[in-house]
Amino acid sequence: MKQKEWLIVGLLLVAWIVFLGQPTAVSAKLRHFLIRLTTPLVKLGDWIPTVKSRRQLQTSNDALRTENAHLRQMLHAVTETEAENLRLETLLGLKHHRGFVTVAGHVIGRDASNWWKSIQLDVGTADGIRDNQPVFNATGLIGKVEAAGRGECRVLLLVDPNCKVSALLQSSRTPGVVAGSEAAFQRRPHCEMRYVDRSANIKIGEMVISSGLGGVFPKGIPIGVVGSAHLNQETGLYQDIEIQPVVDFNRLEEVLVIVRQE
Amino acid sequence: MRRLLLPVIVLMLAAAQAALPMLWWLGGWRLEFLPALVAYGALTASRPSRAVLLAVLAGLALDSLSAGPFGLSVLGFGLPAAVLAGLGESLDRDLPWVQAGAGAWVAAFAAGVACAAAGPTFGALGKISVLAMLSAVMTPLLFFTMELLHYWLPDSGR
Repeated sequence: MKQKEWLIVGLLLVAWIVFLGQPTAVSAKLRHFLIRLTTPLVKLGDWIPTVKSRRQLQTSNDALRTENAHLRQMLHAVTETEAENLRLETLLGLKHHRGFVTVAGHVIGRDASNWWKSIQLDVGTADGIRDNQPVFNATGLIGKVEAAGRGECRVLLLVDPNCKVSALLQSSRTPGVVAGSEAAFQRRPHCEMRYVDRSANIKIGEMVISSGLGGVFPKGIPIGVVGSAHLNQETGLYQDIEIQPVVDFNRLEEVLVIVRQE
Repeated sequence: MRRLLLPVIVLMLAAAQAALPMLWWLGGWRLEFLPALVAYGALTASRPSRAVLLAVLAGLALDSLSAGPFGLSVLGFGLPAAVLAGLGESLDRDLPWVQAGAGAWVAAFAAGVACAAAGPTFGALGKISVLAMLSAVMTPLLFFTMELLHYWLPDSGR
């Protein structure tokens, strides 16, 4: 390579490093342009196996799954409300926030990288989707919207270490923070609950739900069940809990995005 | 046609990476095709700047389909592609082990950059090694496929 060409390549890469640290409107437009180019190709993957049978089943399946997701979510909400009512029956004027306006989306792609865990949905800002809106399905919490484009959005999954959710152990009401496991090798995607009181009595199999603190995730959405618990090795001040998510992250097809509260 | 072939393949392979399910039974892997393509571009490009341009496009395409910082993979692919292109004349690109080594080099460098950005984790070095090995296997296969493509499309130069 000529010296001059090396210099140009070097300068371009240095300029890119500087550019990288500063998210600009230009980079956002470039990203959305590339997403528009690649999204039809990603969707193409859905068509490859048995085109006819998939198309025939899709319409009725979609309607049933959406209805089922709404009903199961309502059931979870009712169970949590019942428990909450028992604890707080003496208090008057408690304002409940249970009703959500949701938008159903189909999963059209996964994360192309090995280092982040996310999915791509076929709904975007045109459908009312905004950044940081919570995403769930019939069984529990999935994650939050990380970047919304006009007709698609990317959802950071609960099993990614960068997705942090304020959570509660459902029966003991012990609080903590749930985030994706940082282990490089995982047979099944799982999460960890950190900063749990070291004296808390934790039962294996106990349900973990979102606590509603932080304002992103509503209270009472199931996250997972306790797999194991141990004292934090570094500080000894807290317990760390391994959580088995209730959602099967390998088989995500339809999800609901909470766009606002009723 | 001749100028569009590689960019179209970049977009197709990026989409394929995003469409394929993760191999949880193997420890949570995703097959990566783009490092092999970047290595192919770097070893066969007529000019180094073309190899770097292809790496930039591959990096942007990958990042547009990922939750990682947009533009990160440009570094991960661009630097090793520039190095390979610089060594181009001293490497015999027709040797499978050279192709495999180039693929492993690009995959390992890109994984190292991504790992540094995502936060180094326990076992990350092992993960980088496995990704490099997978890419080492994939690159000669990609070279073979591209040779076939060039055979079928005689006017599609590099």
